[in-house]
Amino acid sequence: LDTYFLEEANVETAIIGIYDLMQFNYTLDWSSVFFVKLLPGDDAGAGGSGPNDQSQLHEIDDYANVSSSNASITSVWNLFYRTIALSNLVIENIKDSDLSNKQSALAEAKFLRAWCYFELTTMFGDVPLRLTVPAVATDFGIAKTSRADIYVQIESDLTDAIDGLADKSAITDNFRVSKGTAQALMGKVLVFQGKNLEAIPYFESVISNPAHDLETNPADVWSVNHEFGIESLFEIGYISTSARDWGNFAWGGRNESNTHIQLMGPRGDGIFDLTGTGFLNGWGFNLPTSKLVNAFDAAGDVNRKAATVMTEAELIAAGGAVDPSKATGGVIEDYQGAIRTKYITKNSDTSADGVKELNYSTNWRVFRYAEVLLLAAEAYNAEGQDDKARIELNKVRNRAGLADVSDTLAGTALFDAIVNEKFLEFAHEGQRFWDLVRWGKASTELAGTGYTSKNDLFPIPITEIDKNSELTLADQNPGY
Amino acid sequence: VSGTVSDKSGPVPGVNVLVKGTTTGTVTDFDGKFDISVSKGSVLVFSYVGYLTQEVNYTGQASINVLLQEDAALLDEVVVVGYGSKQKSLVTGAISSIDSKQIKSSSNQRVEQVLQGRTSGVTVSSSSGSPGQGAQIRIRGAGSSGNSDPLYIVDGMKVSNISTIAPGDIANIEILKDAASAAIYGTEGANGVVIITTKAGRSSNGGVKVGFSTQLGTQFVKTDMELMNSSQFVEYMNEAGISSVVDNGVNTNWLDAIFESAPITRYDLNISGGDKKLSYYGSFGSIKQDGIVGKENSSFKRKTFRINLKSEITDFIEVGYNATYSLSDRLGIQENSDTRGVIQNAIALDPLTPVTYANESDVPQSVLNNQIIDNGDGTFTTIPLLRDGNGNVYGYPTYSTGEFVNPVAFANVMNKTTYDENQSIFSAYLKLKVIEGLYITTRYGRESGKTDEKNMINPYYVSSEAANTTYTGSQNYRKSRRWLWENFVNYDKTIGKHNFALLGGYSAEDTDGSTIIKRSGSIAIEDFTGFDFDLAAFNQQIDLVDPTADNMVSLFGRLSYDYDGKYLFEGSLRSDTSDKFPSANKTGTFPAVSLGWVLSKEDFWKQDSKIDYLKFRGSWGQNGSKSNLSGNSDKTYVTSFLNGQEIVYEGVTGAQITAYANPDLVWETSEQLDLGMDLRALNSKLRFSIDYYTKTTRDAIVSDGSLITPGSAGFVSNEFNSGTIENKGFEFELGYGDTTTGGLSYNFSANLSTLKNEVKEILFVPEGTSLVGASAPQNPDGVTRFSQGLPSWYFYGYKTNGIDPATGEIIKVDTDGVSGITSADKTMIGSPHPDMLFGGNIALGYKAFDFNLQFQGTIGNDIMATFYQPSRPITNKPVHFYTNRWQQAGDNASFPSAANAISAYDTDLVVEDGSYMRIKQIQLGYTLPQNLANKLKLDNLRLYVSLDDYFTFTKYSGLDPEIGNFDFKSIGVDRGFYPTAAKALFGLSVEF
Repeated sequence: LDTYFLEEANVETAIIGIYDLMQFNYTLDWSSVFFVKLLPGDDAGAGGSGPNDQSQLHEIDDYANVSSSNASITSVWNLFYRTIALSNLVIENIKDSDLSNKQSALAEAKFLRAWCYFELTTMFGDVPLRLTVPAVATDFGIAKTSRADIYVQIESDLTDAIDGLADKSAITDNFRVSKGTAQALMGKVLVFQGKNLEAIPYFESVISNPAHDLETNPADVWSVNHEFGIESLFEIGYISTSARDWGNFAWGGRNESNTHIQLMGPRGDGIFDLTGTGFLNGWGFNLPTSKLVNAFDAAGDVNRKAATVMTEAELIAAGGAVDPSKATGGVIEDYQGAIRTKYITKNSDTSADGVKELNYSTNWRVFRYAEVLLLAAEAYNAEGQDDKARIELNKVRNRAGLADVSDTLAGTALFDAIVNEKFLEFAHEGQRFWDLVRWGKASTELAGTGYTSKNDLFPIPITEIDKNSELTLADQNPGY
Repeated sequence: VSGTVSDKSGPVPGVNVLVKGTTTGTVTDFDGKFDISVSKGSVLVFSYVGYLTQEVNYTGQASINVLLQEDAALLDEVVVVGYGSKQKSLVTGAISSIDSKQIKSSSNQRVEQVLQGRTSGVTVSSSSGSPGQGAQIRIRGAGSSGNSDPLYIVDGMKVSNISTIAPGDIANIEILKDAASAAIYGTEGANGVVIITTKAGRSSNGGVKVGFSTQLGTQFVKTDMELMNSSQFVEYMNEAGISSVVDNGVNTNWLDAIFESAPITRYDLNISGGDKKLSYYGSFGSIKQDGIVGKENSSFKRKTFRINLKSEITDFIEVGYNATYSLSDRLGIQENSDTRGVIQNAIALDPLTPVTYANESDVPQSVLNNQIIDNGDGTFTTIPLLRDGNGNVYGYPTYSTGEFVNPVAFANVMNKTTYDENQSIFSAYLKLKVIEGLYITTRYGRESGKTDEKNMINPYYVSSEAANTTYTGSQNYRKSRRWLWENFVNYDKTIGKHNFALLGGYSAEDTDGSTIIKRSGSIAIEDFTGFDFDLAAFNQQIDLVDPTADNMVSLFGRLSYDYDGKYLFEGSLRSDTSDKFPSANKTGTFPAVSLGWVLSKEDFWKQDSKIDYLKFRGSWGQNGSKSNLSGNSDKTYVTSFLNGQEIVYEGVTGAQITAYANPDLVWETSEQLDLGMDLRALNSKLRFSIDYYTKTTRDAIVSDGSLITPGSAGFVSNEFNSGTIENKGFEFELGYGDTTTGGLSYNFSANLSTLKNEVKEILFVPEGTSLVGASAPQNPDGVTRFSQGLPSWYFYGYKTNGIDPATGEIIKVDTDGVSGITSADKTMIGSPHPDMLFGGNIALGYKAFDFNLQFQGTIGNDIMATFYQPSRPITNKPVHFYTNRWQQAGDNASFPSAANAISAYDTDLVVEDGSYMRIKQIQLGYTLPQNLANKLKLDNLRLYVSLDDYFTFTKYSGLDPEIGNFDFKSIGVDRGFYPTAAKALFGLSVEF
């Protein structure tokens, strides 16, 4: 370590290491952030072979017995902090250097640190704010910092990131974050704090930048053919060429392929016959709710629905079949009459030969332009600029093949339209639940599901409380 | 005059015959005969190691026949200690010995087994019953939270393991148990020392002596474990609300199905001889053992070669050379896994699945459909069905889902794991006699080994979670090397009744290892022509060098003093400097002192006392341990490789740190106080020893830094000092032996050890919290834990208080005082550490017959079964889940209703008393009478039959109570333990 950060190339390698940890965290076997974050939403159910198959995921999905020893929540916590720790290491080691790539590297590391803290505070509330590398074991203990102060640090990091990052049009490695990404995240962070007026300029910068736009076709948004495309602001990349097989697959480790696609494919074992769809069987997690399917139908949404879900009737029409008798106890877990097509197990997305199950290359679009438009619409609406709000909302609607909202739609009614649009546009993308919480809509939208206000935050992992000398059980989130 | 020297079993060759007061002498020949010129009135002295020296007056007899008496007292037996040897009567530490006679009568195939049950304070638990798997040896308990293996010294050379030594080559074994005895080995003596001396050539007239022995036998499982049969299973599943499970007429007992009898054969051949100028011992040994599961697929083959040479070139120069080479091939089945183990699958797979389908047409259509993989581009790949050697299709799980596969297919055809290992050890020494009593020894030893592990998985499709759609293989080929150079001076001096022995020395050693080849890959079914790891499909990495240095230099010294054999003192000091410690803490110093008082030598001791020998002794010392260190713990490393794979993102190389430096790491120090007494009485027929010890390990090093690092730290700490562990207990050894006038010889011995293990202090983690150990499907937050005030790595879960008679649910005990049952109510529900260990031996001899019975056991340890699968409701269980279950309101049951079975998995209902007694060996031997043997031109011929591990007494309901484990955090955790095989053996040994 003593000499590592004296060279520009090594700094770049360490930055790639941070991205790699992001990739790790977003696809780790049964505990991917991508999945854990979307489970409490009303757009998706956990699924799998039964209620005891990865019971920790069902617990989050069902708001039942979510405990501080939930292995998936623990993993999400640990890996965000690992990503932060590596960012801290880079920042601490180069901040006083005179390396030529110091500014861009600092900006990238600070963006990634800000991203992680934003995800953490969204899911856990007040969390330890660690900005330095522990030198000795006694440094491991660190107290919690209030969410408000976490936001202050995120904004500070994002300010530096915006200064130091290049414009999207100037980025050579397409997976890297750009100035626009940081501006968009700053806007999102401000909206999450209710600072809508402050957020608007950031969104406007992103929207006015020609390097950013929507994909034309809804299905292309999640397609491997449009990876790192024009709509993408931040994307976690995966590849199909790392030749994973059942012998060399790193369970709980680092795989370059997207394991979660397999996890979330319609379950095989004779349950879902996918003949005629071009889809392959998987392990049955992440099924759409009937509420989501109905919402598409109610909106008259056809194209975007097809890119998101497939009903049983549509599956049978394509040549497939569903046989619940093959499932344990004759019931397909969390199946409400449709399978998900967004991020599905597409034969074309995995390796041509080798073990298809383990080599999906599908990228997660964890931050995309459509979200900026809807966040901007939300901010304008909150600030009484409904005309501007409608413009941004309509961009998203038009792409989905839907008509403009009425010119007279305003105020709360317009807000509700934005809420519904986001439900459809970001189904199965992990935004829904956390939006419902901050909008104060969780108790109404999730009524009857077992949700209570304690679910607004995940429990802090018991392993953290046990080992962090500055935390006690009194620091646990309410209700856990 | 001429004559014959014999002992009770016949003539003894090689006995020294000396005319007293002269240098005239001879040795007896092969037939025990001697011929010597001697004048009347002279005294002949007959001496031989292990026998009482006899003197006979020559008064003109025609011949002199002498019957040598074995030295029953064994008081002058020489005990090998570090860098020297010592008369047993002068030993002040706690040292147990196993001599070649005990080893000779043992039918064991491995050294670790020879040690089991023989002496007090030594625990031997096999890591698995699978052939060729090693065993864990613990001397006076687990002194560390990590690796607690003792130090092994073979012929002076430190070796990494003793599994490659053929028991037949061993002359004797000493076990140094107390700190003072082990302290001369400093940083590596904390867990005790096992010193093995191999056989040397006999200086007997230059003749050649040949020994041959063979052993043939069969192995089989003997267990009382019982699972639900199919009708019980169907009833149980239906009661649990899973009505889809119906009786299909199949009733497979998977335990019967996976276990089969398996052969074992062993041959040993040795040649020895020589004279004073050069003595030699050479041996060849071969063993082949098939597994009781999967037969050849879990087999073990080992060939060992040894040559020991010794020469006294002149009166003042002695040189010696010991070398051994071993080749072993082991095949192993998947074991010790609570999700994907053969035995675990056998316990949990539904009994409604057939082992094989009676007819091809019985293969369910759904199974056939599953074998066809839609490539999505209009083409299809068909996966071959799993078939046995006769072409019958193996049963695919009828009801169990998930990872479960047919365990018979799993053991036999689904995959193959091979470990080929070769190891060579040699040591050479030169010993110079400078003046009388002063010797300088220099000794150089080298151990090197290669391990080639290959894993090959065939394609299969059992379910979406148990599938391999290609041929998959991996290889990991490693080498390791260690050299050790020791130089030391011994000086023995007697001034009047004051006897001094001084030792001073210096040693240096270096250990390293590297991976020669590491590769893995897969081949599509249609392209497969065989597992050829040289194909491009197997991604290859070569010459991966382990980055950590492991060098050590040491200085050591010892002073032994006794006054007239009555008052004994010994003190030693060793200083080690190891690369493995942070720069600030590289050197550790380890002192020891011990005292002894031989009361029976005092003048006031009545000569007619029934007590022949009585010694009190006490010792104190400090030892260290570096075995849990990977080294470089004071450095933080940036790496682009993790677990042998490159860190890469979107084709670009990345890097991260591996762990945080721990500059504060200090030496783990084990401090031990030992008080003991040795007694011999009734003409040394009765032998008794007692020891009391307390062994405190401070700053115990734990390698798993994640145990103290909160997630918010991001990365984990390097090794750290975890706290203080205390082991204490009493040890008793008792023996009684005699020969009756009728010729019946008998010898009873027994040993008993008590052991109390407690974690006294944990550093870093806040009070009241624990280190989390082994996880299991039923309890991701650890089924074992390490907490202050409790035994190390105790079992963790819910205590229960019966079954609610109204609901059939388990009543969990609320332990945290906060109302309601949460994970905070989990607590200690058992300890894997026995309160008491015992062992014993009964040896009888009458005329040509001998009988030997050896037993061994534990009292007071618990076993926790973790082969249950909470995520897979349709799984079989031990039958007590069925017979003891709650069925209807009002039942006072000990097990929950079928619907609540899963909630039992993380409670004390899956923890059982693991106490057991096992008869390790019952052996009946017959030695051909000498006159018959002579006619066959043989020195000796012995035949025996032996039942090994045949009878076991236990209440444990699992397969085998003798649960060892591969991992220190999982002691006593039964994940589906490969049981120890019972063996019926026939053996023959001849010498000529």
